[in-house]
Amino acid sequence: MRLHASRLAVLASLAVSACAVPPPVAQTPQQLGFPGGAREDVLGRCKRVGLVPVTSPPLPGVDSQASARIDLAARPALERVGFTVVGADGYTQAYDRFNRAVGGIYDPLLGTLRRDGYQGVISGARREYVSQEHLDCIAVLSVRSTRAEMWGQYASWDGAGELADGGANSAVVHFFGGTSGQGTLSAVSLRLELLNPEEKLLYTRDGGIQLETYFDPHHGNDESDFLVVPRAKLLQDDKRIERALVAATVPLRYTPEQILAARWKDPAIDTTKIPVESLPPLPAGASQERPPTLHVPRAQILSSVHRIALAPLALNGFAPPPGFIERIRALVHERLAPLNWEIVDVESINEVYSAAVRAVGGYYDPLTGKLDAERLHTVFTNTMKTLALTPPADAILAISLVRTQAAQRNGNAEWDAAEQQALTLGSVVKGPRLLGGTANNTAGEGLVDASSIQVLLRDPAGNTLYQARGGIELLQQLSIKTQMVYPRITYHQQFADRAPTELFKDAARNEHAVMVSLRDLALSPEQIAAEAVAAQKAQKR
Amino acid sequence: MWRANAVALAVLGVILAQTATAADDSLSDERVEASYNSGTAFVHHAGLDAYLRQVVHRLQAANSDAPAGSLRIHVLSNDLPYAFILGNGAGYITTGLLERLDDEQQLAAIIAMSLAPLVRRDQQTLTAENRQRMLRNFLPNLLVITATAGLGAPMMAKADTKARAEREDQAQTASDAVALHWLASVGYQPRAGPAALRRLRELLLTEQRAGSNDLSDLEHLAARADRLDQSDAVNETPVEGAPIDPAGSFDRFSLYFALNQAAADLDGHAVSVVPILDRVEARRGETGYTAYLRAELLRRDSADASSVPVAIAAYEKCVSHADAPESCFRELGLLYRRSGDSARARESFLAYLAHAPKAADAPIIRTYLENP
Repeated sequence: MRLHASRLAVLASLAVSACAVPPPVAQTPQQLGFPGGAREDVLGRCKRVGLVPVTSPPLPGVDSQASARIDLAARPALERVGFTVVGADGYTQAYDRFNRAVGGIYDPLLGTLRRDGYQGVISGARREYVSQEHLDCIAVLSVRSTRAEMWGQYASWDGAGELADGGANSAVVHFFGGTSGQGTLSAVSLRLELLNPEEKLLYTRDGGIQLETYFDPHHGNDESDFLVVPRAKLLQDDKRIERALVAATVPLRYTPEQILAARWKDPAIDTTKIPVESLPPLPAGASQERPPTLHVPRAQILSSVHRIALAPLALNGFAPPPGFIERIRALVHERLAPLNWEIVDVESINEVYSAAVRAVGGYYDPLTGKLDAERLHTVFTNTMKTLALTPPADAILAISLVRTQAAQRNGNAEWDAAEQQALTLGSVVKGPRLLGGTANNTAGEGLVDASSIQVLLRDPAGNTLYQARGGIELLQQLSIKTQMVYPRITYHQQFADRAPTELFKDAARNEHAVMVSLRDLALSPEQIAAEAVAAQKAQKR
Repeated sequence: MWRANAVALAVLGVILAQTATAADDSLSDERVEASYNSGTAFVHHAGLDAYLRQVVHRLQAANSDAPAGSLRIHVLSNDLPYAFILGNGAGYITTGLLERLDDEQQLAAIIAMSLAPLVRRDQQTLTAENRQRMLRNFLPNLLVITATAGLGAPMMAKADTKARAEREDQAQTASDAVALHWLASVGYQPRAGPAALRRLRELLLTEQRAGSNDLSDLEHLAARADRLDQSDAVNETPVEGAPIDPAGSFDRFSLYFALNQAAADLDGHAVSVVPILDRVEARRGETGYTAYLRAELLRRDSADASSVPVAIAAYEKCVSHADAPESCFRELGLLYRRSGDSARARESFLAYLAHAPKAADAPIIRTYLENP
């Protein structure tokens, strides 16, 4: 064995290198959120600042009152910077006026934002606001979903630090059985932007509010250790909103040198050091359950529905191989056969429905983007009239291919009652690899894109009777990149989309998806239990 | 000593773990290609694909080892220059590369320099060498790590990384020389290779951009260009061949992506807008769109009243072009309105509505006509 000169040099220089840790350096203006580069310019320019309100609701599914809560907290936070903060009345009035002038910023057919109209309204409202209130700058607040880095039992992002399990477990559990992995968790942050009167971005910084998912092996279920905080329980915590606002305004209040000096020490500047015990308890997370499939009791459906119109499979941008559509239709007929329904294949139903939507000008309010139930009812009534089925159908069954996400644990992905190994794309065999299973712990946990069949049964008035999904196959393949930075080995998840030409070719998976998607409708609870037992026996064999 | 043993075991564990997971690390090239092709960054443009096919065919003519027929180059949208070719012949360059190169000669050079390592199987050679080196050094390294109770490990890793980087540079230089020879044998200038690398470096510096890949790491670009200059292949005389890019396709695509980049940079990286526009105008002269982008840049900085006249002058210049974008008239009207010149504001708003009567914000502009 030879000892290289380089290895001897290593030995000799160890003592020196141990003492030669470079001192920490203050962050650059760009890193602190000043894209133009000069903090002093921004503070010198922005004295009278208009506060544009947060959109309501701030995120889909979140309580609309949360926006007002953030607006209320934002004013003192900006005043602490030294700004004179002007109320948003002038902005709101201009926004409403321009929104009406352009006929609404939402697409009435889809309920989505019309980008060009939205931009025109926002831009116009901001200009009016600046001009009327003689503003130097505008502060724009928005709430956004983001990712928190998880290391062991802690998660941190955008100046926020939290326990990755949301504090659901005691200190004793953390000590003896805490998580040791790393990864990312969904989180929510507040973004503060300062714009000049011509909408040039002068400053932008995010402040973390709270986690949207927790990682908690002690409260997870068989499928996943991730727990989700219901959207309705997000943004109810004034203390965490305040922490986010402090984190977002720190570079405006303190110099880079002050921020550097306070790192790891002063929670008034380094908000990750705010002890979680000083904050209110976090809302509990819950395992993601399958949503109920039957929107009315099954017996009621069976007594009122005898004849259904079956719409052609909606592909939603997928390009399945030839014969797929016909096979799915045949499987639907087969699965529903025990119900003795008369199933009428109506090829024109999607076109007729689209024409009916266009005829009423869409069923979303163009000013607010909210669904108009009355218009939806009209659309369905008109669709049924135009179809003029004799005798009329009691319900419409729409089937579509949809993109969704599958939760994977150790590479084994499960979603919509389907399973697939995300690393190999083969079948899942529960258990570690040493015992013949397909679990690979380097894959950790996470989400991977998947495909499902979605079925939706509606009555002639448009009321949903039944809605369910059956998983087909994964749309991505997971791979693990191993990186060693002494003394830690890190496994990075990487995803590659599968080629469109290799999808939907597995007849068994296609059949399973249809069977699962219609199971709660076609089978009684007793039949479902019997089917599950039979499946378990088959798996054991 | 217990600690040293633990470290030694940990190192052994790492090697075993890496071996155990190696099977999961690789994705098929077909899958990676499918992922790029269905991604949002993929640029769908039949004319551009056809042009790149033409360049590739010309290069392949010089090289019987190239994956004849299966090599295909597509474009991905990215502000930094990238060029790489997968093992199955699917190659990608970025808009950030196309917009910064001077001509087809430089483009062909970059593609050839990406193809040569594939043909020479550099990746496989380097992987085999790394494996051999790891096995050869395992026991000596273990001894050092054990003797230093683990403290020597980071420095050992650093030395290993340096050795790998040096070997990679050697392999790249050899492959680049092969690429330059191919260029000469199909009528391209071999000097376009180092020229392309220097051009990328110069423009990235001017735009205050840098990355960490082969074509965006400023230090690496300079060193690689210097190494190429020392190669014999750079002095080869190109053979007489078909004329290069007679239809001027390269310029059309390159300028198009440069203008897209300048527009995107207005909001996020304003420092690069003027250098990009200067470059475009040097090749094609000022147009309504370049004048518009310059005016937009000035408007964003016209926060105080004193700077408004400068912005107005820029938009006036923009609307003087026959091909002025309609937004020029709108913004000019808004600036006149801001400066209190309602007559000129009205004139500009009317011109905007005449150019874009169905624009989404046309109703808003009409309210300005009603309430000047």
